[in-house]
Amino acid sequence: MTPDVSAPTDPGRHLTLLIVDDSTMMRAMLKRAVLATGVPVHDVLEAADGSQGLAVLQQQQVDVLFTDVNMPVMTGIELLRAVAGNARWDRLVRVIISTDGSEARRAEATSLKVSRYVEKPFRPETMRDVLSELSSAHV
Amino acid sequence: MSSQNSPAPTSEVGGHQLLESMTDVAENSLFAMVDVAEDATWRAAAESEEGAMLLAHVGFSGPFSGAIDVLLPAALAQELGAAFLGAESPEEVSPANAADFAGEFANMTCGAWLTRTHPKDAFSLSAPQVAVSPADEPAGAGSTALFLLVNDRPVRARLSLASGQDAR
Repeated sequence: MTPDVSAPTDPGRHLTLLIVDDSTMMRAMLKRAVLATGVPVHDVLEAADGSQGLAVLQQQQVDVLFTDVNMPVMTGIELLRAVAGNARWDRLVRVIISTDGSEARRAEATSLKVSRYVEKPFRPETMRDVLSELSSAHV
Repeated sequence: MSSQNSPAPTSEVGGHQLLESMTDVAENSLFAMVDVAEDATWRAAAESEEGAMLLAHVGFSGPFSGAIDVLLPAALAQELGAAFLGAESPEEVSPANAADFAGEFANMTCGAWLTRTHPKDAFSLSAPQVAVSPADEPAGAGSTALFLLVNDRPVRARLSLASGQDAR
């Protein structure tokens, strides 16, 4: 998938990340993984579904969104549609982290300007690679 | 892209791919060992478990529908959850988080299985449901059950397809 190379951050600014997943353990694992990457991080925000994630995005400046797909209340795809429909979030980097690795879902993600698609399960090192790549492309 | 005509796998193929999927999840994410168990071995391992067993259930729908559930000791969910987090000991994982992890384990297994069996089609997965369950919870007619040892502890993975979708 071709990364979105628009620059969401100022040079040297630490990233604010938002993790949207209905599993508290998955959010905790992702948070540990991103903090262990060494990529400068200002804050890691969390939300348990797409609706909560949208509320966070409306209230705070976020640089990178990590979202699951299958969640109650509002799915990750619905969240990404809301993000894609608002120019305010044009510079938001979008990453899907999902058990669904199907070609159909990946094509849908591409149409929603998703930069990276990470399939669960993944090794923590994968997150280091993703963030390093995004960081060097965007900062 | 999605095809509404994609057939469900047969029990034999589906069961084999379920084993591959669970092994992939356990080995790649959790650094755990998965072995297929003989009936008697599995039963003896289940009887030796002193703590609660958890049943984690994930439904899926798409070109065909069904559910995958995973029965495992709560203590194993705690142990695997710790490995998942990179925690130093299982005690760092609360019982509530162990149950959450059991659901995520079933979710990852289900997603891996669907991607393996139907790589082109998108499916919707239900939020995992986790409940305390007896170890001898019946596998159910018409389902495909795998009896496994994960880190030498008893785990049963079960695949159930909606009626009429596994009759080829």
